[in-house]
Amino acid sequence: MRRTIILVISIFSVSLTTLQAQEIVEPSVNHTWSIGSGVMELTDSYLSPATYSGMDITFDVAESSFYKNSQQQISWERRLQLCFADTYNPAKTASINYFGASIGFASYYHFQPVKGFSIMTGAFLDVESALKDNSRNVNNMMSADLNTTLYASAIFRYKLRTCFLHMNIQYELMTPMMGCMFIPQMGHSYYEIYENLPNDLDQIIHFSSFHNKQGIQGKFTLDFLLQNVTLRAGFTHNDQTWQGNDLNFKQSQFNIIIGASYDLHRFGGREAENQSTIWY
Amino acid sequence: MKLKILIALSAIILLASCENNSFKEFDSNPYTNFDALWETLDQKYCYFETKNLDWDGIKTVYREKLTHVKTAFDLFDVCSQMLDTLQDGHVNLYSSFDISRCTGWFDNYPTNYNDNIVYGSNYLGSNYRIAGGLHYGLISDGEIGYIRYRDFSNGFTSANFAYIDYLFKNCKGIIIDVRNNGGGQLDYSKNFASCFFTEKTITGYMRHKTGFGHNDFSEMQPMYVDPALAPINWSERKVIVLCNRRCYSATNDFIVKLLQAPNVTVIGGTTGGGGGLPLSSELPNGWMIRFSAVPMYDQNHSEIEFGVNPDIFVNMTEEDAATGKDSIIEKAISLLKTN
Repeated sequence: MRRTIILVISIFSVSLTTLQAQEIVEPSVNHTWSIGSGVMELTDSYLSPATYSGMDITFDVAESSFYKNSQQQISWERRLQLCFADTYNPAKTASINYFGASIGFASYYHFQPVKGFSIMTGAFLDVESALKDNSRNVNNMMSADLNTTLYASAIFRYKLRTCFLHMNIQYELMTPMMGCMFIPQMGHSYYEIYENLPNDLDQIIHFSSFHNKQGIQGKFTLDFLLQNVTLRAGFTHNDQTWQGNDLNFKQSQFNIIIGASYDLHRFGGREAENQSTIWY
Repeated sequence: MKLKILIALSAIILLASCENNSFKEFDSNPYTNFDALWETLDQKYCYFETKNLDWDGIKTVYREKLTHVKTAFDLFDVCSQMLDTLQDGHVNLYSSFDISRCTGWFDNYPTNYNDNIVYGSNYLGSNYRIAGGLHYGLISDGEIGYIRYRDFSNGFTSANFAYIDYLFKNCKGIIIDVRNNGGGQLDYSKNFASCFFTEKTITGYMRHKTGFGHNDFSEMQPMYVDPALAPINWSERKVIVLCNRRCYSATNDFIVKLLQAPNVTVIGGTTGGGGGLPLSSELPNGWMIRFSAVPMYDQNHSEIEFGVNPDIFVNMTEEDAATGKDSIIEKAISLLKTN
């Protein structure tokens, strides 16, 4: 009996060790939360010919990791962003409230041309939606952005390591390549769109590429690796224009962001950096 | 290779920062604002051809008047005068100190409505009931159900109609009075009209501007009423609808629909029209402009912008009014009692 118990405990211990060992082989998933605030300018000629400007607030959640068996050369990232903005026309006689949400997925290939400096290039596919509400308008009081876009993306990262400071300096750049987007016709009322949606689909859904959608999104961040967590600070900028059905749309944002990044299983910061499967 | 990448990135940044025709700065210059107003309508107003208007000529006439403009009030008045040439109740200029409006479409027509008489002792009185946006009660010794609907901005529910139907269950017929109802939401018009149809029916068409030209329109799209969406089924009830010249916009649309309903008779005067669904835009000085943008038509593709005629023309007489009687309601009562 005693021998049996020892045997069971031994098997259990061995299997547990194996499980732990296997788990360590699994790539770690890095989670980043950040909030930002800044200024937004938006033009939506369906709602108004004026450019509206005001404050915005953004909330980002991202998860990233290496693909299994990719020798730490190919990584993925999931991203969710929420945005709210309160903007006013130049005369301050009307406002547009902006509610936006986007969810996307990216894959990156990692290069390391010199030690400490890495470049990641890849593609980012996202679905974006936004509601813009100009409460002063009649019948065209709402405008919706709905699109899915494939972005080309590049990330440049420099790892600064000193005795006292472990820091990553990173700049991320994205530009829309192709996708599809919803744009109402110039004189379309949403009443009509709603009533005749199946008949109007070919007029309001557009293939998007460089000919009708241009933009650049950037994110500059400084990541400070502390013992168990990485703190992030930086700024983002976003300039996009798109056109269709004789309507013009433009969105510009500049936000200061702060956030934190860590691994849910192993925490982040320097502790995590010491493990080879962590991606930063 | 590096040069090509740099050029491509620069081009993207340049394109993304390109300015369109939008304005970013407040501008109170009279000429800038006048031109912006004229151009907005030139590109988006839907009735230039229907009304045979020389919009370029109108610009020339009114732009010359800007030389006398000294204050915002002066500019507002010149712009309002120009807008008045459209003779359209859906065209308004909104500033912080005034709202322009066109009254020509109803000024020279009989009023054909008196609130004091309708809410007087011969009809609704002071003890009428209110269900949603509907004022209702029994008139003519309880033999006729009467509903006064003043504004299509005020809604109603199936429950509202269920109680009204219970009160009207022994009535010989129902009068729906939408006189002086200036419109509101098109959805209420459609839902209310659906009560009087037995099957899904095309009651009209609409189309929208697809470009800046005065004749750049989409194909006409059908507009339906669907009894399945109706708050109550009154398709078997005898119904008379009262209208006058001040029935405008969504109310005009309601009358257009009910002229096709099987058991409904429309009596009163020609409606005011307002067949163009209005949209909004704004000027660099922050004033808002509302204008007809989406024209609607009846089931025969005919224009409804100038109003539609009732089944039976009836005008209020001074003699009846002097005794607290409404000639149009009296005619409706007599039709419901004799048929």
